[in-house]
Amino acid sequence: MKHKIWLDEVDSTLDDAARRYTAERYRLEARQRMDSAERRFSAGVWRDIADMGWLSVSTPEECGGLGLRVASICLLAEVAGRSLMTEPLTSTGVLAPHLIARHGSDAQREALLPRLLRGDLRVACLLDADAFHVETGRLSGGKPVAIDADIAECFIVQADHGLWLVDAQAHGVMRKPFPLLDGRGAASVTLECASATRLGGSDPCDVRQALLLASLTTAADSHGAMTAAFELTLDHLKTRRQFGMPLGANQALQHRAVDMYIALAESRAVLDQAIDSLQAGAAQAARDVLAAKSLVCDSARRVTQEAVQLHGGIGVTDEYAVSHCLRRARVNEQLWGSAEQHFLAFAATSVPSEHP
Amino acid sequence: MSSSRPPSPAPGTPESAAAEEEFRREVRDYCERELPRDVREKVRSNLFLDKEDNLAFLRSLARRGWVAGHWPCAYGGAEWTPLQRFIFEEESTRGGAPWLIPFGVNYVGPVIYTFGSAAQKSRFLPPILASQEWWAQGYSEPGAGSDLAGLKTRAVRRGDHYVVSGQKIWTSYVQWADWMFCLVRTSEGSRPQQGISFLLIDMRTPGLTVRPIKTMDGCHHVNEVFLDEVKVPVENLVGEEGKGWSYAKFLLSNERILSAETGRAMRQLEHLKALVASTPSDSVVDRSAFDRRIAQMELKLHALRAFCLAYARTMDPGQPPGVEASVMKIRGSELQQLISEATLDWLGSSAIVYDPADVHGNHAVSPVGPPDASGAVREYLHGRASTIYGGSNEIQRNIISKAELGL
Repeated sequence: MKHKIWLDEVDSTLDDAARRYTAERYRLEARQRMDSAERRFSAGVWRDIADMGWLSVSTPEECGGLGLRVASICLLAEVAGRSLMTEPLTSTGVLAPHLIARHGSDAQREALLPRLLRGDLRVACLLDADAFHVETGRLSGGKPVAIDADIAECFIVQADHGLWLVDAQAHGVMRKPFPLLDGRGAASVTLECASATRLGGSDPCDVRQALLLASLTTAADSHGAMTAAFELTLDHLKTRRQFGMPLGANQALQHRAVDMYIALAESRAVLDQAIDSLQAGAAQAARDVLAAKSLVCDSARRVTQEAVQLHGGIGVTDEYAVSHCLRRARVNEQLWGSAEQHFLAFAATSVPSEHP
Repeated sequence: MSSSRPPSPAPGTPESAAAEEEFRREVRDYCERELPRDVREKVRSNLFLDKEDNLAFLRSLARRGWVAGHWPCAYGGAEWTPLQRFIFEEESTRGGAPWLIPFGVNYVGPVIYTFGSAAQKSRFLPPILASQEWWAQGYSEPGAGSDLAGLKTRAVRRGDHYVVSGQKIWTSYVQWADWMFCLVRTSEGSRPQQGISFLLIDMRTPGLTVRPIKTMDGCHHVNEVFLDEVKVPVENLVGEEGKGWSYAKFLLSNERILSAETGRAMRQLEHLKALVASTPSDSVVDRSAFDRRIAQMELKLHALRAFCLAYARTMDPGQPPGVEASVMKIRGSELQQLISEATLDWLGSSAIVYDPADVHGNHAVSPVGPPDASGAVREYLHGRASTIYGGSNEIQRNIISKAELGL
């Protein structure tokens, strides 16, 4: 399958470096020997990521970033998915700087963005129009599962058409951390009259654009996870011998591998189209992104499940990467709006038929 | 003849998007103003098209210089890019144009201008462009379907003629044809692909017998062709003797870009949505489940179009197509079948009534249900072939497995 030809130097440099870094320094076997805190979040990895520029691709140049580069964001998310990275790339690396650059006051940008881009601040984003409300400048409400809230120092919380910064240690903030099934982490966050600072002025904040970006990033992550699962499967089919021949000599298995390949090729095309239209701010951008999250997540579920099946026994072990790919795809389906919600929203964008 | 030069700005730029959109508008405009109205109505109602319908369509294309848009200018084409060709197929089919029967324009024409002699070019290309000669394709045989290289029809050189004997099958619309291009065996090679030659056969030659095969839609699309000592002048050999397989492969590569038939899927899905909006179903009980089924097809169509557009924008027409062509064939045919199945499900009891007479002739109308119910049944029945012809979907999966996955 042809790889997307990166349009500029920055993308190709990022892609090269990211693939090399994760292949050499972010290996599952090595990470499985780490203690659980380090495995959940490694400060060293996070610094390296910041140094490589991963945290700068969703921030405009005038704020010290490399510009909002949707293709860069997605290629890095793909590498993160492929290498099963647990660090908070989408929330802290993409969404938080995007929201602060877009909605924050000058002072907030100056205070927060340099720290975010250097990798010195971890932020979880609690974007849910109905979960929290404001009373006399204080926030109350709760979100049962907020990804990366377990390790965040600060939250960006959506409430009453605004975005609010909440210090994770502030009075009135309660969180209960738990692991996600793929090794990442989340927390349930409850706020009871927690003190908060509004991001920017009193104008309503429209987070639809940010949510589209998060959806697309997550779809790219799933694409990476299913690509990894597919490559392992193909390798297994070629090397594993039973009944005196490689598994892949069986046409029944060849055709199943081809169906996985087609799902990947289609996902790639849908993803690339959404990347282009979101970057260009095209009229159909929302539809393209909704389709991407829905289709890629669905394909990732099917491909990773099939990958486990085609591996046989080794496929269900915790030690082997393929089961991690499946678990990651499962988690991604639920992030930033479920794949099902995205599908229904996509359906709603279809042109209704006219009566003949 | 109006202009139809390809939009040439670099792909991915706003200018190229505008040029694409402009070309789409031109094609839409053609469908609304110049495509013969009764042909368009027959296509939209999924009725059987006779030869005259196809010719009327081709003549209307000729007025725009669009019969062979992808041919080089030197041979009367417009040198369309793959993207333009894709857009033309998609928009025209969506807008009610018939399937452009490919045997002359898309298949034998490019083989002749690429591998044929000067005499063959001047003899055969102009009548194709002018729709004066109808072509058919003599490929499959009773013993050589998916395994085409197993063909046994023999051509023996005698003086300045080949004498051809054997049998072809599934020969589409040869009942209308003036000429048939044919793969024949001129020698036995160590591999079955060797020793195959590419001959052009005049259908009036003695020794040819055509026998119709009625398909399950009750229509006459395909035939058997029997060749009994048919004399073919050696000047009707294309290229070199024994190299026919490579020309055949070249020919197939020419059709692949269109194999997804996205325009057809768009038209059929729009048709289904209009049907659901206008006609209650006596069969479907759960409307929301059915709406979901439609939305799933919309998503599949979205993915197929994204895939085809990405491919058309980047493919090099000088190179043989990659496995992308197989992906398009598989997904396009699967989607088309899903849509026609769903259409019949909605039509319910009116879709079990079927008389082939109700899909023939202008203004044919179904005896029960909406006027085009019989056409929908015909589309469903005829469409069962789309996962079989042109290299069955199983063969396409074998191709991908071997060529791309290395299994």
